[in-house]
Amino acid sequence: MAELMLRSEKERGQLILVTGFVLAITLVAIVLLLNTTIYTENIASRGVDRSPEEAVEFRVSVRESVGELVLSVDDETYDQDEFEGILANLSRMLERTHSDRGTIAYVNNSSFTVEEGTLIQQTNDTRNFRSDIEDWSSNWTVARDIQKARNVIFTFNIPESLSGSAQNAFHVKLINSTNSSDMWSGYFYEGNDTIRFTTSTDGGSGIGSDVCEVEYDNGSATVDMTAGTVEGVTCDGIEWWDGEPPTSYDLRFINVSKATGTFNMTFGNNTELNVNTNFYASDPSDGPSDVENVLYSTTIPIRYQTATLSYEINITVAPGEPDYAE
Amino acid sequence: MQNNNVRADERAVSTTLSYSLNLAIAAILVSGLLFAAGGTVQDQRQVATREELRVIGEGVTAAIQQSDRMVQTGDVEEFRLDVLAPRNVAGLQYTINFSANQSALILKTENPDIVVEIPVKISTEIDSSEIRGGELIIVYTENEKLEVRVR
Repeated sequence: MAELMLRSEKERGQLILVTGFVLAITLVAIVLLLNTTIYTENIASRGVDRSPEEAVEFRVSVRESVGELVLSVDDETYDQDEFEGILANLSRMLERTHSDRGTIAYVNNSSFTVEEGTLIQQTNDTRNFRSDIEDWSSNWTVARDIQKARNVIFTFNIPESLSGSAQNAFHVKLINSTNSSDMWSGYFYEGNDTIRFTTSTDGGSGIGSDVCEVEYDNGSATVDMTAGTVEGVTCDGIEWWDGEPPTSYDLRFINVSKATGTFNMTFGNNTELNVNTNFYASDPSDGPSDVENVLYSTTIPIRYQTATLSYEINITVAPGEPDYAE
Repeated sequence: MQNNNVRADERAVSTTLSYSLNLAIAAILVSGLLFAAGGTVQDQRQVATREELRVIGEGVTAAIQQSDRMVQTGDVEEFRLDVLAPRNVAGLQYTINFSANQSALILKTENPDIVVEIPVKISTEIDSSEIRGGELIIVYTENEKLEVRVR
């Protein structure tokens, strides 16, 4: 009897030992899981690879810097040698700024291409926006078959000379080259020391309510239609066509006696562009002038490479085009 | 003499019954402990797996969105981005795929079946198929799509 009791006690002891062993294994498994969880949280808080952001910064820097270069030379006939020289120096500077250990930031300034265009401008700010023809008409066609446009800027000297209402105001009219009923107009007028801009898509009979009003001072007001700004301030209503322009369109100035000041605009794709030189003077101080073969845009290959990223892209630089900003 | 021996004997039940009861109670306690411990381990494993899949998925999604931004502007000649991700989560293999409308990244394991979806919003089309998790690369293909591959 005593021996039987002793044996059962020993067996109960073995059962408890096995249970303890299994519980210990279970605790180890829980600890391993906890380790995995801690590792996961560590991954979430670890510093991420910044190569993509740095590549985008490099691309934006090139686009902005070359854009400034294009703007500095686009007021005269394109000089390839001069542009190449300046671009080479600019490229080296950008590469030095963005290269780091293990990083390649490369601007391929020997493989760039350019698109030439035409600059239309008037620099005499005491003149209204009539053409150069002696018996000028209140309306004239600035250019036909426009496919690309940038930096369409008007500076209205003596804004008080603008019309007081949209109905007989100076306005730009864009007409689809293949469908004359498809058009868009932008009206500039003035009231209570504000420049006012409104639009119409049916030739004027349905002029919309005021879409943009900006106060001006200093006796002049500059409107950038492709950037959508008045005196450098964004004005959402200012635009160049309502949405995406047609593939090819004509530009007319209407009621030119209702606006005095200067203007400039650059159109691309000289192959298709149609400008009547009879409307233009040879000297922009005499009247509107057209300068052919100016630089409209340039396309440059760039490359950014790190241990984890390889990025090569051809960027087109056409500063002042609608929606150009990144 | 016999009367004294009986009075001194304080046992109320038989030895056999006592032994059986002790064994049964011990077995029940042990089973309960093991069952609870096993359940806890299983639950914690699922929680850890789900959390790790979420973290990996958000990292991959961020890389895809960065890639989308980089290929949207301009004419891309070459694009390749490496994405580091662990091969296993909590000891389990996992797969990565996109939803049918390419609006979400789906990470899942089998046995246990755990599925995690991370929203993705990009402009570029994805050339997607189910791939095993691990070291990945994102490339821009000739047909102007982003593709996620195993490195």
